[in-house]
Amino acid sequence: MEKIRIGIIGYGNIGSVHAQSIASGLIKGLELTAVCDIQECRLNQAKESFPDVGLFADYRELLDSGAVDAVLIATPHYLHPPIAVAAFQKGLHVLIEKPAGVYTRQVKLMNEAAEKSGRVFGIMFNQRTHPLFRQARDMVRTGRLGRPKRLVWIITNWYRTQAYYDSGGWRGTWSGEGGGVLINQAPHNIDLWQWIFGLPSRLRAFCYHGKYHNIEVEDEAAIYAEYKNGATATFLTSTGESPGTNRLEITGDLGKIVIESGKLRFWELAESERSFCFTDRTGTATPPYTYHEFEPQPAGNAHLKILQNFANAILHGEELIAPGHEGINQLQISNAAYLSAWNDSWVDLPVDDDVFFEYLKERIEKSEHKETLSCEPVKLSGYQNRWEIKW
Amino acid sequence: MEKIRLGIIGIGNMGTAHINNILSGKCPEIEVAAVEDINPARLKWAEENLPKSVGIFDDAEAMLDSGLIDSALIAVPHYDHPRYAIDCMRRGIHVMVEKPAGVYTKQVREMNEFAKKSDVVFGMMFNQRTDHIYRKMHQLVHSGELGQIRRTSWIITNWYRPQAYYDSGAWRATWAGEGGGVLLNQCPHNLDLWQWICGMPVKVYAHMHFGKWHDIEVEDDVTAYVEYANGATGTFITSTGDTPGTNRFEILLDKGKLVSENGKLYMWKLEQSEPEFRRTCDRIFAQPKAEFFEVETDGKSEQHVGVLNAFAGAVLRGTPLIANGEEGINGLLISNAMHLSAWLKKEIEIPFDEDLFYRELMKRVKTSRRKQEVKNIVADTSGTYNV
Repeated sequence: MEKIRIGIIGYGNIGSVHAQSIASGLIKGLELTAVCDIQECRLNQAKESFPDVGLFADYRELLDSGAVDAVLIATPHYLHPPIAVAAFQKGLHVLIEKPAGVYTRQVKLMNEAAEKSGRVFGIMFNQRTHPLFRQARDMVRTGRLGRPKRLVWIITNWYRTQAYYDSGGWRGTWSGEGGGVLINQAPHNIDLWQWIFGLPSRLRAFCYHGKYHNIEVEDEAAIYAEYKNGATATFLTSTGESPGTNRLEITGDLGKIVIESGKLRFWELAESERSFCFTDRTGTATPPYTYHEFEPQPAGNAHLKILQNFANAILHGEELIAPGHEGINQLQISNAAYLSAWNDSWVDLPVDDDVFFEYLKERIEKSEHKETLSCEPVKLSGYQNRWEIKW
Repeated sequence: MEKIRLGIIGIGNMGTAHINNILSGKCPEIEVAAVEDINPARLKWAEENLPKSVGIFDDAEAMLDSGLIDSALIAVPHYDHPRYAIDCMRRGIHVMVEKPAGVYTKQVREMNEFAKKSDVVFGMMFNQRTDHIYRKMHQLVHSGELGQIRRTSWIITNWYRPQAYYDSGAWRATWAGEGGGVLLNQCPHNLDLWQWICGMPVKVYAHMHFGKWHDIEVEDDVTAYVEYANGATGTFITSTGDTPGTNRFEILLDKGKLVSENGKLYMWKLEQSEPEFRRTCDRIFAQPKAEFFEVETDGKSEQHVGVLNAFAGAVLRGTPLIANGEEGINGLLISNAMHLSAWLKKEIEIPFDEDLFYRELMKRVKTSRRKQEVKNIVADTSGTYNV
C-alpha cells in the first residue's frame, strides 16, 4: 500500500505524541520520516524514540530535503502560517495544529498558498469528531432544529494554575502565544460554535487580562454575538474557574438541544414555535414537544481520527473533517472579540485584518515574553486526558 | 383568630388569584374585606362571586377611606403601584405591593421614603423568595462557607408567551401601559432573586431586542452582562419567545459552585479555596478537589400564600415578611439600568442618573402604540407564576 511520508515540525508536548502515534503504525497510510525542532535536546529525544527518521533543526531544510510528502505543524501559534506557506510552496500536504495562527492577516496568506498548491490542508480541530457535536451540527444544518434562535455556551472548564503559565516563557504572553484562553484553550469551542451555528455578523466582547493569573493576556472572556438571521449567541469562557462548566444550549423554532455531561438532550416541538405563537388563542399555552436523549459510546481517540482522515484525504480523496482553510473562522471570532474588548465597542465580522494586526502589534511590542526554551523530556505516553473533551 | 381586613386594589388576573387563595382557606389570618376595580366587568364578577360581606368599590381612595380595611394589596398595572402604596401609607394602611415595585426607580424611591416615615407594614410580592431551592441558594451563599462570588449566570428563558397573551390587555407590553416587556412583567422575580442571592451589580451592559418574537413595542429578548464590586461578572439571559425554555442558575464561588435547574440544586464543594490553590499548586494541570452532591432542601415553596401569610403575621404579630417593600427597588434598579444601557447603547454604572432614565422612558411613552383590538379576557394564568 502506498504510504505518505510525513514530517513533524515542532517536537513538543503534542508534536511528540503525534510522532509516536504515526511511528507506531496507528495511522494507516502515514509513515513518520522526519522530525524538526529548533532545540537540539528535543531532537536527541526524538532520535532515541525514532532512530530511523531524519532530524532537522530548521524547517526549511526539512521542506527541501525531499524526505516528506506532508508535514504536521505543531509549533507555537505564530509560526503555523509561515511554515505552512513554505510547505505549500514545496508542494507538500499540510496538517496544522490549532489555532490556524494568531491573526487573520497571516492566516489568509496561508489559505491562499494552500489553494494555489492544490494540496491537502487540514487543521487539528479534533473535537469536530465527537458524535455529540456532529449530531448538533446535523440537527442545525438539516433544519431539524428549525430556524436558529439562540446559542449559549458556558465553557469555563479550561482551568489552569499559575504554575501552568509559569511553565513556559511564551505562555500567557502577547508575543509568545498571541492571546489567552480565546487563542489557546477555547479555539476548539469557538470552532465548534461557528461550525455548528455559523459565523455571526457582529459581536461585543468583554475580556479580562490577567484577572486570575499573573499573565498579560485574557483569562476570562464573554462574547455576545448577533447573526443576520436574527439569532444571538453568548459564549463564556475562563481558565480561572474550578469546577468549571461545559454546557452548550442551542434553540431553534423547532426545539432546543443541550449538550452537557456527555449527553445531548433534545426537546422536539410538534410545530414551529413561530407559527404557534401567532395561532394560539389561549394566551398561556406552550407548544407540545417530545423529549429525546442521545448518549454516544466512547468513540476512540479524536486526534487519531483527524490524522487518519488527513491520510485518507491524501490517499483516497476522503472529505476532510476539518479543512485547514476553515481555521480562519475561529480567528474571525477571537480577533473580533479582542478588538471589541480593546475598543470597548461592537465589531463587525469579518474583522479588518490590518486594524487588528496594528492593535496586536502594540501589545506584542509591550509584551514581557521571555524566551525560555525548556527542554524537559517529552512524555511519550499517548494523548493526555487534558486534550479530551471535559464535561 | 384575629384577622387582617384586606382590601384588594385591582382584581384582574393576579388580584383574582389572590382572592381565590384567601377564600379557599389558605390564609387563615386574612379576611377579604373589600375589593376595587375600575373595570365594570370585574365589578360585576365581584358582585356575583364574592361573599356579600365584601365591600365593592370602583374607586381606590373610597375603599381606603371606607373603614372596612386595615391592609391593602395592590395588583394594578405597574405604573400605579407606588401611587396607591403611598395612598395607603398616608392613611396608616398596611400595604402589600405586587411586583414590580414600579416602573422607574424615581417613583419607587418616593414610595420608600413614605414607607420610612409611616409605621405601616410594607411588603413586596416576591413569592419566588419562598421557593425551597432559592431559599437554600440564598442561605448557602450568605453563610459564607463557599467564599466570595466570582460568576453568576442565569439562563431564564422559560417565560414563553404567545401573541394572544399580549393581545389580552391594552396595557400589556406597551411603554405607556407596562413600561417595559419581559424585564418588567415576567423577570422581576428573577431580578429580585438574583440580587437577593448574589448582591447588586455595579455595572450593567444589556443587549435588548424589542418586539423580536411578538408584535409588541417592548423587549422580549435580553442578554445582559454585569460586573460586581468585587470584580465578579454575571450574565442574565431571558426571553418570552423561547420554548421549551430554560431555567438554569449557576453561581461560581471561591470554594464551590451551585447550579439550580429542573427543580434541583447541585453543589460542588472544594476542599481548598480555588484562589489559594491556583497560586500555590505547583502542578500545571491540576484542579482543586471537589465534592459533588445534590443539595437537600426542606421542599417547601409556599409562594403567594406564604407571602400573604407572612404579611398578615407581620401586621398582627410583628413577625418577618418574606420581602420588605423597600427591597423592591433593587431588581428595578437592575432592569432600569438594562433598559438605559440598551437605549443608550453603552455600559451603565449603578447608581445611574435616574432623571435621565425617566426622560428616556417618557420619550418612549409618548410615542407608545395604543393597542386597538383588545380582547378583555381574564386569563387563568394560575399555573404560570411558579418556578
